[in-house]
Amino acid sequence: MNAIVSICHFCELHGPSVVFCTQAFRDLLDLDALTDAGALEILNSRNLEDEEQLKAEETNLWKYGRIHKETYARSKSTSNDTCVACRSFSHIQPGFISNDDSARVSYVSAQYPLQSELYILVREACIRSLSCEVCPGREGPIYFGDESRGHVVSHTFFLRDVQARGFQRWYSILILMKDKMLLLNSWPFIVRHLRQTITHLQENAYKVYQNEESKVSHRSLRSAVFMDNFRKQRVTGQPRSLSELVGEREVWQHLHSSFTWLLKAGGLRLQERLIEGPPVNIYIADGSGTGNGLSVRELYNTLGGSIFHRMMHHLLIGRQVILRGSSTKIISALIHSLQPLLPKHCYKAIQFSPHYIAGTSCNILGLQSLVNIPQAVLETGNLCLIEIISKKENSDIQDTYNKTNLPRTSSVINFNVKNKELETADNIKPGNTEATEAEDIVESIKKFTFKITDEGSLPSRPPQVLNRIESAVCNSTITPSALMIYISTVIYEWINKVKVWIHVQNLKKMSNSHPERIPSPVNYSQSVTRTSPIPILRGSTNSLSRSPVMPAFRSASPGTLNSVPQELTPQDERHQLLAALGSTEWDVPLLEFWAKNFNQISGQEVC
Amino acid sequence: MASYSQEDDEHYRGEFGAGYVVGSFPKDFVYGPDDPDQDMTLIFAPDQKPKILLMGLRRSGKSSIQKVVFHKMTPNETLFLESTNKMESENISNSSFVQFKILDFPGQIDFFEPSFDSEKIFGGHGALVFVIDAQDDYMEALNRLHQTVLRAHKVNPHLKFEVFIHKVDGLSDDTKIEIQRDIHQRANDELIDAGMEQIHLSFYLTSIYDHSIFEAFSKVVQKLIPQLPTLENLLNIFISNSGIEKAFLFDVLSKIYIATDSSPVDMQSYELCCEMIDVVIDISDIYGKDEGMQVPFDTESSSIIKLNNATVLYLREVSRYLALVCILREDNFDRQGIIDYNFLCFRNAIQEVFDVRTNHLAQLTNSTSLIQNSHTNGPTS
Repeated sequence: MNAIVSICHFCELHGPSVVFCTQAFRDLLDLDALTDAGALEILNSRNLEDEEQLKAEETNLWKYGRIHKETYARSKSTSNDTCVACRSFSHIQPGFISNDDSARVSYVSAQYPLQSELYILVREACIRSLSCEVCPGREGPIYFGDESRGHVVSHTFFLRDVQARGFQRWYSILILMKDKMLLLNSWPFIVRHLRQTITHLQENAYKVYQNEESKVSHRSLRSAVFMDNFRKQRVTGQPRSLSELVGEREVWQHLHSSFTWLLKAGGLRLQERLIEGPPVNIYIADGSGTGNGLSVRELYNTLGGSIFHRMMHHLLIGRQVILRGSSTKIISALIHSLQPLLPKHCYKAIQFSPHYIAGTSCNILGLQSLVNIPQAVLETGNLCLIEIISKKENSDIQDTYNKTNLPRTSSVINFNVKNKELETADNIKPGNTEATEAEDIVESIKKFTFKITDEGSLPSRPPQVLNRIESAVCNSTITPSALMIYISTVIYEWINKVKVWIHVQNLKKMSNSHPERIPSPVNYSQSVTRTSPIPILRGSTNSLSRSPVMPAFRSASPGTLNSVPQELTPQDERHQLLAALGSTEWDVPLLEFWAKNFNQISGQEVC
Repeated sequence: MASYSQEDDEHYRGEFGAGYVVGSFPKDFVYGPDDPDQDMTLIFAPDQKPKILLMGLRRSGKSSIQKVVFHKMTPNETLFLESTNKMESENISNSSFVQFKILDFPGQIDFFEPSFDSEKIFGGHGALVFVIDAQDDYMEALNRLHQTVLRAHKVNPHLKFEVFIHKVDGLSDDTKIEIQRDIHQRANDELIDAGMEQIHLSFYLTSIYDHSIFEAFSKVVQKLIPQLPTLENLLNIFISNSGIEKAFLFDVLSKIYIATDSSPVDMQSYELCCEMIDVVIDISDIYGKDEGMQVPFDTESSSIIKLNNATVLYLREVSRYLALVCILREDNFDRQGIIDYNFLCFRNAIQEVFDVRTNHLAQLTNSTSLIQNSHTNGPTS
């Protein structure tokens, strides 16, 4: 994760100050030439005798992504007026380095970011996190930022301290990065792990607080001091360092390892991948066939909101819609006008058929008013039957309908053969109608009423696509051409989601056969946690301070704190995938339907 | 995937919201343009309320002053206040006279840095109160005072500057005078050296352990009340015709007086009046009939306290948050009817002063709505 993690503190003497920063450095290909000289100076040059030796040593320690001497700037002036509370490293100890040899990354922790331009950003974020953008509950995570100043997730917290004013001190942990989407999508992950680190610090600080308070009550001491009128002897507000507050000398090492882990795991958690496939625009109806149909809004008005809604719901989740009536013209116009509402590969229409044709070969079917639908098909509930009834012969039709409904045992033999013939016939039948004819249709269609006479049961909630189409159609401020663009954009968006859906389903199939080789991106982070809890520790963990790695080191790292990896059930996985796609449970029928014939159109396997 | 609908969002929260505290997580995934100034406009709404900026070094007592004067915190409790880490803004709008905003600044942060909008912070009508800890070495505070005054004056030449020499309790009277003289001398010398002698600094000796902080704050607030001369004049007429020695117009909630007659104020009489208000409020609190009120104070509120030195304290309600407290000789109180009549006239007069303001405000809102109307009509008119 390309980010800076830092700890900030509201010092009672100096106000908001940056105390500790962890950064990741990567080798860039062209940077090697720049840093070839290895003239890198991380150490303060005051320590003259050790300087040469340390420098040599340090170039060894810092393996990857060194920054050039010119860009490296530490504001030495600020280090002069820092007190013990706003300092993490003394002058002799410049910082910690961990090298990750497998990924060729060096994680460097120091008091300030090593590049001065980053220092400005972190410093500003620090002031904002402690003095401007304070979380309403005072403790807790908050997001702020913009393109120029970077995007920041800041988690403010208190540490108890007997000597502080108000008996607590303000700290915050910032994560600053340039990529807003990644940062916010990592929010649950980041907040969960920051909270672990913070709880750890707070528990330790509370122990110290109770220990000190048990010796002497500072609250009464403070009042007593006032009574004795010794107020010039300030007992409160003296700076204390973080390690003193939490009673832990190695606190900076722990934080270094936590933050390093966070940066590493945060980067592995989400990966951006380009999913290849045929270009999206081949899935979208080009609109050439709509010339002799109605516009979407006319269709909506003609059918009425309720019928439109039910019909579209059936269509979008892959049910068959049958239009039955006497006027071929009207039916073909209606079928044409449905075209822009579906992706190309999901629009299989037969405009006029003398027989019932099964839903596998066409999902929109025009039938003559007297054609029967086999009882078996009706019972499956996978269709929606719309009757088109002329207004004047309404009653007659009703009778004939009832009559024709009786002998429902007509056969569907040989429909496969006939189906092919019909399809070809359908293709031959050209849409060479003219604009005047379209207007005629608008007029003549008013003479008919529409009625859903038979339909299967629908899921309780329609897919989101339908809601969006309906709200756009009902919005009269959208012009017809804008409406068409909007609808095709919606379809475009969902085609992309279908692509990802198919991709993940394929990966899942493959990973079932070779589980360890291709983990699906969804459970990737989980597999990382499981196989190697603290990946960074496998690299050579060199701390410049040469302090021994304590046994507590391992237990304090967030990897092991999180050592209860839950097994992902397929249900969870599916939820995660749906959430990542911005879809919901009730979009699944649509996704599945759209995915069904997805690859047929291009004739090649996707990915 | 340009946008997510409301349903996605609900779903997302259902997925992730349960286990984690969401905090400030944006409501939608469509990250609209960030408006970094938005919160600032919330703090500094574009109304014309005067503001009082409390500035000074850290630990000089800014937050304590604010808590004691406006939140009834006892002085001893202020020992346990934590340090202020952000600019705290508070609206004080008790009556139509006492309407202002208090901004309490953290002493550690330099608000003249370019990342802060000093126009918004220091602009507008108001006063800057600089608090100096008199028990500490005040040289650093004087430096900061000098810089603050110069830079704030540059941003807003209409800002008034008040210096509170604070925490003077526990100092002997001689030391107090000496410190005030010293600070006054040095601060003004520095201003003259900088060629800014037109800046006027007022100095007050204050402490939260007595009434000096209320008195000093009263003076600061009075400067922000444009109707002050009228009020003083009314009080003068009232006391001269009623045989009253001293009269204060109090803001009951904060116990700061927004006007008094032109005779000099001595500390004892001010304290006496403050304590009288406390007594009245406390008694009404216990025996008052209406328990839902924020302050047990209404049109019927009045009180007479006779002291053994032949002095009478007389309190009457003026408006919901204002009370008139008078000090007079017992002999003059024989004619209480005259005093009451005069008081009614006084109250009506005050009401008229109010009305001028409310009418003015009504006119303002009318005219702005007219302007808006003409805008919507376009350039046809």
